[in-house]
Amino acid sequence: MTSSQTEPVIQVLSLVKEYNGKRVLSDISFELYPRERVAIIGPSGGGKSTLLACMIGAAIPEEGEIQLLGETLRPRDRKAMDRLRLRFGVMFQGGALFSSMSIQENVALPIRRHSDLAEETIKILVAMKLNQVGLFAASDRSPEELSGGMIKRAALARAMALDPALLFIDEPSAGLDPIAVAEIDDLLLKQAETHDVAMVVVTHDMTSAYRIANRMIMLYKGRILFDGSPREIQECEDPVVQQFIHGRKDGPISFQESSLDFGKLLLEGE
Amino acid sequence: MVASKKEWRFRYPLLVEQILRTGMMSTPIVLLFAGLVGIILVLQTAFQLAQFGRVEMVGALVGVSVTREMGPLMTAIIVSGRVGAAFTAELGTMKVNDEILAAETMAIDPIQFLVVPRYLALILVLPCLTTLSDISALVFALLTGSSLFDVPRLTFMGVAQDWIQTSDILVGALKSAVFGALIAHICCFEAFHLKGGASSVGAATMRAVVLSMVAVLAADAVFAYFTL
Repeated sequence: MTSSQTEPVIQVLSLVKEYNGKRVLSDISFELYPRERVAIIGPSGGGKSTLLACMIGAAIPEEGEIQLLGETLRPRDRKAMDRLRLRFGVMFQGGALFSSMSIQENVALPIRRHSDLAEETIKILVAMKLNQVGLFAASDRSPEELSGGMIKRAALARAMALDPALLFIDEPSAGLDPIAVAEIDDLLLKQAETHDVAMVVVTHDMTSAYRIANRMIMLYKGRILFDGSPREIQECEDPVVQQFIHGRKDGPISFQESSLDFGKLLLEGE
Repeated sequence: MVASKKEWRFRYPLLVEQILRTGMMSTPIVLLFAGLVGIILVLQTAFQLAQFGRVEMVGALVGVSVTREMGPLMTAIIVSGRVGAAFTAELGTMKVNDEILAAETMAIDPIQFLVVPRYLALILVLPCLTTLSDISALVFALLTGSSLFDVPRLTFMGVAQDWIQTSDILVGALKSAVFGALIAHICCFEAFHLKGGASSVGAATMRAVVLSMVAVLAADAVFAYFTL
């Protein structure tokens, strides 16, 4: 979407992030507009999770700026971050549900903390949120009693508890069977359409990415290699992009980088 | 739904939950441990005192040593191994599972949500446990003294009452509260600062328990110096 009238919900400007002197993200810039659903894809170690961590304020970039929903992200300013965090939701890869609480308590937690609503109203809201993800019947269960797919759905209900304008989703398909993945993808789409939520989905599951996203950003070695629509990515002739989206073993993306060091070890006895 | 701004206010249910958990978790082992220490103290001292014909003084000896030193110290060490380890393991697992990050992303301060209730619970519970520990040690010492060394129970209690001072009990309670703060601080700090996966939870738990025991002993030495 290219809209001159609409303000972007995310603006990432020349982002640089390093870990222990090693550059993980280099000069990342992009904008995300309302109702866009972007899949951040790329091979492992490409910088997807680091970019997500920077966008939710969990990691502090060395250079560059991030604006979320019109406000500059200042991870060191706790009050400003907390104000901003009320406007976006995060669904973690493993769910990150509080194991000492039931599913409904998990979903109720942000509502209880950040609103003055009566307990009865909170119960109704939580029931609605859980019903939307098909977990109303499992409200009283603890996270340990749920399957992987149910945990992800509960995590989605919690992430949507405060009706955010923006949703960050980390690896929604990780550890799930194809049917559960399809269910989660369908739920994410429904949430995006029903609540007009912009979504950033970090994934390396292309089937899931095609299903959810209307825009793809591919990261490779800490840089944006591709930014375009799902159709454009399929037509992209870059060999790295082609290898990744088709899941080919042979190609420029090497998974055997450590073999050079191993060879050196054998030859030089280091 | 639009969330309204809501200033942080202390959640008493979280504190009550932690008080019940830490108290219930530790009471049986503290009672057992203190009782056994009471028996050992009598067995170790009564025989020597009998040689000087002063076996009835065993009540004073056990009473003073338990209320002034042994009670707070052994209770703190048990709690650091029992509750402190549980704090680090639980919070460490939450950190590894991104639960602490999840709290932050929901604009919930994990220190207020997870650490403060545990901190206050230990500060409040440890003096209570120390009192229970003192009582248990004295009761078992009384039973051992009366059954094995024929110390009349009323004599044992009278001597103990004469020698135990109110200040001993108050200093013991104060020490326990300080020990509780130290244990909570170290164990929560280790959990919040661990890096890595599940194996680092085990390492952090071990480090937290060892550090908190050392801190308790060091603090006890400081107390001993200033309450001479």
